[in-house]
Amino acid sequence: MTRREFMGSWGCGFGWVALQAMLAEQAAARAAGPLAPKAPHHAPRAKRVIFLWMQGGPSQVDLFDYKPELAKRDGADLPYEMPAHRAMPGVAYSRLMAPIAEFAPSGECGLPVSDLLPHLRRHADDLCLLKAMQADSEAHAPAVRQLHTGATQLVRPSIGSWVAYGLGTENANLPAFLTIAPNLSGDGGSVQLYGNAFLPAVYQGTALGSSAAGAESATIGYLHDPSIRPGAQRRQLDLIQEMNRAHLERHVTDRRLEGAIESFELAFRMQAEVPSLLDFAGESQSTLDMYGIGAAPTDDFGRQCLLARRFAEAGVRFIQITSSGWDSHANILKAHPDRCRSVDRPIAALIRDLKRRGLFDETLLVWSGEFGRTPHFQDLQDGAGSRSTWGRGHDPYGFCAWLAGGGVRGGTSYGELDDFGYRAVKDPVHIHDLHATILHLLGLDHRRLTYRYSGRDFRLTDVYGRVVSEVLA
Amino acid sequence: MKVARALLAAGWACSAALPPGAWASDASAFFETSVRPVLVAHCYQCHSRDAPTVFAQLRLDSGPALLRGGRSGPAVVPGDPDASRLIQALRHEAGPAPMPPAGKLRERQIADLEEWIRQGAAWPEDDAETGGDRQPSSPRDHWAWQPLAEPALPEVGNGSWAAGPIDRFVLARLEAAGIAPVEPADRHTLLRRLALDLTGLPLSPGQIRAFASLPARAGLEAAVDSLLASPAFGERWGRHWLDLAAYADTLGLGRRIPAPSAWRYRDYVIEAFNSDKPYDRFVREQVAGDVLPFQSDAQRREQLIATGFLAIGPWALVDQDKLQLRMDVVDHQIDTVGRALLGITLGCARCHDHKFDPVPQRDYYALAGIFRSTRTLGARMSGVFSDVRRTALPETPRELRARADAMVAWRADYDAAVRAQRRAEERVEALQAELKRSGADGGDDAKQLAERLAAARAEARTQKTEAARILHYGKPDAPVALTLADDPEPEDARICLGGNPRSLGEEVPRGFLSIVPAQGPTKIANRRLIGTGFQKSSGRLELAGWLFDPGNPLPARVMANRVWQHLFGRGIVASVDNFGTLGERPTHPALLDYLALRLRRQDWSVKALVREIVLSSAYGLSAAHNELGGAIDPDNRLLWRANRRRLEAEAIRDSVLHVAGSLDFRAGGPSLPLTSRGSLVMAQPPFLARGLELGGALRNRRTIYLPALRKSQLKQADVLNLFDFPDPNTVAGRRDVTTVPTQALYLMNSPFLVRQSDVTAKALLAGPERSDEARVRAFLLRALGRPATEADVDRALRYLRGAGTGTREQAWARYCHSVFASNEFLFRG
Repeated sequence: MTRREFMGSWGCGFGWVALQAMLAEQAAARAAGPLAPKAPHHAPRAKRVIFLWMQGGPSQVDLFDYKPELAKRDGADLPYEMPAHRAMPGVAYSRLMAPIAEFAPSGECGLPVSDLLPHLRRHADDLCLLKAMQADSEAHAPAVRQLHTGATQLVRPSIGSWVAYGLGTENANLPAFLTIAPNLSGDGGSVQLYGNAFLPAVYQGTALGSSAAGAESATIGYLHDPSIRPGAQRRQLDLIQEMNRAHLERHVTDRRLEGAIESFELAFRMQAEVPSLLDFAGESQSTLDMYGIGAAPTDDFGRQCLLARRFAEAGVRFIQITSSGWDSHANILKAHPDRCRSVDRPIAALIRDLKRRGLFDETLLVWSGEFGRTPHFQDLQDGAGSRSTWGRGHDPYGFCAWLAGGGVRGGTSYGELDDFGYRAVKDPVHIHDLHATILHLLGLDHRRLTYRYSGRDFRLTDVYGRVVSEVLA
Repeated sequence: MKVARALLAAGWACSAALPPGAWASDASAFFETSVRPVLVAHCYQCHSRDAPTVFAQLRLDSGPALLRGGRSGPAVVPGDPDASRLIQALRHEAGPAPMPPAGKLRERQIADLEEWIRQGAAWPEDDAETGGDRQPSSPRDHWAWQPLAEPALPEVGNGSWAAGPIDRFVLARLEAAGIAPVEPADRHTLLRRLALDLTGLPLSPGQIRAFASLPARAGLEAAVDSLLASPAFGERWGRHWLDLAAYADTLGLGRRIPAPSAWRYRDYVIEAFNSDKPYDRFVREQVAGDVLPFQSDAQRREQLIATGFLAIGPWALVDQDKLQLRMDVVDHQIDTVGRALLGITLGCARCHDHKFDPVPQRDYYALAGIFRSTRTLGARMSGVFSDVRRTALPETPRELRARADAMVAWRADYDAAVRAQRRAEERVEALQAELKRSGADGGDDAKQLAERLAAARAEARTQKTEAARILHYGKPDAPVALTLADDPEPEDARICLGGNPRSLGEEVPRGFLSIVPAQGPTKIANRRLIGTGFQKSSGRLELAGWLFDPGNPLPARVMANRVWQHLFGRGIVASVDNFGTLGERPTHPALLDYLALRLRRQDWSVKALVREIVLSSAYGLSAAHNELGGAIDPDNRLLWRANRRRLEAEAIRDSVLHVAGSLDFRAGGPSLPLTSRGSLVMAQPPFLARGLELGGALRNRRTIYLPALRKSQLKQADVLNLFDFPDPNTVAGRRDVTTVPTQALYLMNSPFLVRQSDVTAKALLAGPERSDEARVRAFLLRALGRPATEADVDRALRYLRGAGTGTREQAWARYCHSVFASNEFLFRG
């Protein structure tokens, strides 16, 4: 039988090819464990993701979506209905509040970007604005869960875990999914955000520090025992492994025991590789300055961005970084410019640095809050407050996020909010759609990336999700 | 072609409206030559039972599966190819996704499939469901809701292997599969297994020697009885239960709001397992303890505390939408009752009839009415925050007097401790002054003075810790518990359309699941007698009764299966929280019913059930490999050997502490400082960290007594975060067992392991052993529960000799550390 005949007997060759691919995959997986690189569903446009989460919800009308009508009607009564059932305090006196900053057309594409983001503005031609994002909850915790896991209430795997599960790792000395200074103590912050839920725990995000502790202390736990020198520790590890092998021999074969033995070796390798990745000594002063490391407002997020670049370069598949404190219910006139100052320079530096190193086109940047902020102000002092104390409430009905890098059409925007920037009116992109699109760019079909648990197949996007093909390059 | 294939599955034929017998032999031949091969070649990779992933939940490998269809509905309409989605997909018509993905089938193949459907889409019977676990055509026929049946004891060939009925059930399946069980485990392995399974701690060398010196069977029984009687039994099995109860010492998902009286529920659970409270009683108290009759204040207290099962949870107290919050609490309670007690996932029915299990939306809202008529949350605590119900527990006058005395004593203790602390601090100050006066001449006097100062500082620290411990943990406060209560005006719930509490449909009378053929009442009485008067009832009391209705097989099956899982590492039904049609099938259905009936008939005694199981030959097998078993049953579903299991996080920490001699055996009591009551802490609460720094208060206690948090666990108990401690916000009857490098980093480098290894080494070197060899042997017996081999001793001595620089004590600490980090220590064989 010729190969063609054989393939023919399988019908169109589909079964045969798929079978071969499956067998090859399985062999690789057996050789290198569950984190071995896996073939994507289709040709990927990006190899990895850096996810920049703006915890608390940045204001779309002040940063990325200029609404002349809102500026014109500052102080006017609300031209739209708010959902009646929310016990949101301080909206009884709400009126429209003009954008808190000027905008200017930026880059060759001319996208209007706020004066609050002067550095990022220079990369307008790289940004793909999603201007009509939507989420399902107006409360932080469920919205945050949805942004990270797709589900508002249930415990589901984080998107980074799904990606690690779908693609494996590029660097056997490092975990596939890292989260730098994750927010654990803020509203909605939790280990769930990088949790594997029902996926095997090897796909769990490895956390470096926490936002409360600050990026300066972002590290992998227990990388070093100060009471022992490396040589002595290798000797101790050899003793452990000798005992483990003797133990294993008595039991002929046991994959879990073998797995434990391997994990010690990876841990030992991590001890060697991770500290140097965490150490900025090899970076030039001009690079550190570019990220704003060492300067008060930008130090924390600058460190996160630089760590993200270093881990991206080292082959980590999914890297999350977090900027906390965007939840400006009050004093937004001061709070938002402060937040913007802390991320603007570092993000611009990250884009520039990735480009410089030829990583930009294969790295997908995703910037988003769990929702946006209302175009009307919120007065927590119930009418007694003044403009300087006003803030903006939560707005999941229409807000802005952006993508940049591998596979994305830079210098464009997609979707529209109403004239005041409150609700999506055209081409909305739901969180599920964002997730589907991220997976798509990585070569994964969100409908096919499934995991069987408790008797049914689960997906990141549940039964939802649309790849926003309009934004693909 | 077998004759059987020429017959239709009865249910299939009826539902397909096809006269029986229409399946003629030429139709059969047509099916086998023109239909089945096409489906196998082009569809089964994604749409069969054996597909790695069943896409769209659609299977095309049996008649019922085709009719059932997938997410989008039935795949075929017998007799009508045009209306059949399968054909629409194959023709690439609008509607379903075009199939197969690799390209359209040949016209001839599609035409054949159309012809087959036109003729009724009949399917041969005997392979209606390939693989032997056929699904019944109606979910009502699903095995789990069938009454408990007294199973016949199977005949087995090797009768002498079977120690009792359990072994006969196990052996019968093994013999049918042609696998012989492996050899029994050696005595030391079995003793260690028993100790870890029953108490979560290794045996002491004295216990090992005592049990090992008895004749095999007698030693085994003595060990089992001793372990069952140990308070450590409840500390381990109580934790298993807490995994189901969404227990934590804090409330709220996004924030940390302390629940400083939650520990009373935890202690109640531990005590229930230790006193072997009958399981039905245990559950009744947890579901309806507040409305159960009582004989004494003590009983009343206990029953109120028990309702913490449903009163303590991941409540989003900060939710601004209070109606939504209330329904989320109700949903969590229904979910807990469903999965923890009944093995059914009910959550789907919040929005629509359960798609796979016979749970109509009405059943969900019948239960929802019960929990809507139950008070879980109390008044607003502050601002938008709601609070739980913190109930003062009744005390007898005598208890009240005793507590008043204790309060006076506590005050005196505290004052004394503060005075002692002050004295110690004054001493430090005096010595500091003296040292300053004497000048820094570096002489012997100054050196001595410095030593005395260091000692005084240490003493001051100790006294300060003790004073803080008394203040934060020792105060005999009025007992408070988080409890449920019936609403004085209970009401039936209305269906929330699409789960939206503002979009209401019809009202559903409060009641229970219709799938369970209860023999008793299935409706909620409007009023019932409590004490001396009539009261209205939420229905929880009736719910507790219905759970243990003789016609309800689920609680007994579910609990017996959980006990089995904790002893064998895998349930007879592996999906321990889901016995529904989407759950896994029992590997030994008759054995499961046998165990459930044993549980029910032995007055619901969990200890009796545990005892019978661990004394079986099946439990006592070794974990050795066997070629035949490995080939036929690699996952060991038939139990031809013991499952080797990694210790749970708690068992790792507790075992290390125990072997090091550091373990603080004190049981019970608060895990949060009492002074944290009512505070609203949003960030990492400093008191939690302080709690563990409080010297003896918590630090070396068993892990179950440390504060359990809703999000990540305390840094001081990082072993929980790294070794698969379950999410404490949901029913988690089965824990993950993962192997990740961050665990290895913890084992190599964590201060906890380093410190306990130091403690172990110090104790070893100060012990009675006279030689290094004797020390190695003593330590390995203690750590691994078995006598050391020559190879063990050689390896240890070689390592110690070659340790290079560093003290002897350091070398020993490293050696002990290595054993703690080794697989043999971390796994139970």
